[in-house]
Amino acid sequence: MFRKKDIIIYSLVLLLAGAAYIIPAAVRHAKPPASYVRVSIDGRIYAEYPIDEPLETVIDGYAGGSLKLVISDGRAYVESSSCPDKICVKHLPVSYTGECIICMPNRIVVEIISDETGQQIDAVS
Amino acid sequence: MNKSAKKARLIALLGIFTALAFILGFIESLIPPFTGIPGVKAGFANIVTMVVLYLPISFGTASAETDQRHGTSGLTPSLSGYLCALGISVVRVLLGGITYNGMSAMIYGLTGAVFSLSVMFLLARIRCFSVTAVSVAGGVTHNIAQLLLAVLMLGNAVIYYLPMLIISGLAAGLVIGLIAAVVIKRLVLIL
Repeated sequence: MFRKKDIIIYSLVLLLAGAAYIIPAAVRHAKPPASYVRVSIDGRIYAEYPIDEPLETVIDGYAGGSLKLVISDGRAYVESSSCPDKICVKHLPVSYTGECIICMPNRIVVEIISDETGQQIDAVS
Repeated sequence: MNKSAKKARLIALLGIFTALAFILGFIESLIPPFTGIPGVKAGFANIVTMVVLYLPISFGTASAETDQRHGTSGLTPSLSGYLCALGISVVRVLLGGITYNGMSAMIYGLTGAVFSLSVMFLLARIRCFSVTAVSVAGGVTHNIAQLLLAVLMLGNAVIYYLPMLIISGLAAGLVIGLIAAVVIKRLVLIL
């Protein structure tokens, strides 16, 4: 059932498993997927900004309103807005893919999107 | 035994083993997957593959290397044994694919079977390793080959399955190898 030299095969297999665990994680860590901040106004894409470049810009929304979008430290938030309720200003900064800040009066959606969104694992059978 | 009797014996044996592998595969397909990860299963049909690989089977003029019986661990598979095991695996996967497993499982199964059998044959020929260790190497190779095919077909993201698949190949190979070692030890005496 067992022989001394079997240990070579077992240790090789475990080494391989360890490498398979560490190497893709390391590669992923070295090059994180690029994320963008997508701004849409009234359902149409207005602009996309890379999330790792600091930015301050005023965006003109629907019906004469406007808001000030700030991107810093890999996070995006609305600093000020012309809308009456200021829900978008109170919203915490967003940084993860899929998070978004919505300003209804201005009809502006600030959304985090990622390069890898289209590359998700799904089962094929 | 004369030549035609030998031939008939070989054909009968291959038929029995193919049927057995097919049935084992079918029974396993009835067991619901308990891990939730696609591709993780024991692969009981591979017991048959292992047994045939190691049995002193021969065809043509090649003589079976039956003289080197020093228990299970001393048995070395012949090229004939390898070809027979390969034939049985391929037929079993094709039959399984058109009856219960589905076409995509068939393609993955063929890839895994060819690669793992080849690696097992080469390792077994070195004569340093036990049946169990050879089986573990086969199980891991089987899963790696299938995953590489999945990378070709589905893209790089599936590579994150690799550690899980290696460990599951190790576990499956261990179970299959232990069972096969016992069966081979018994069958060598009567075949």
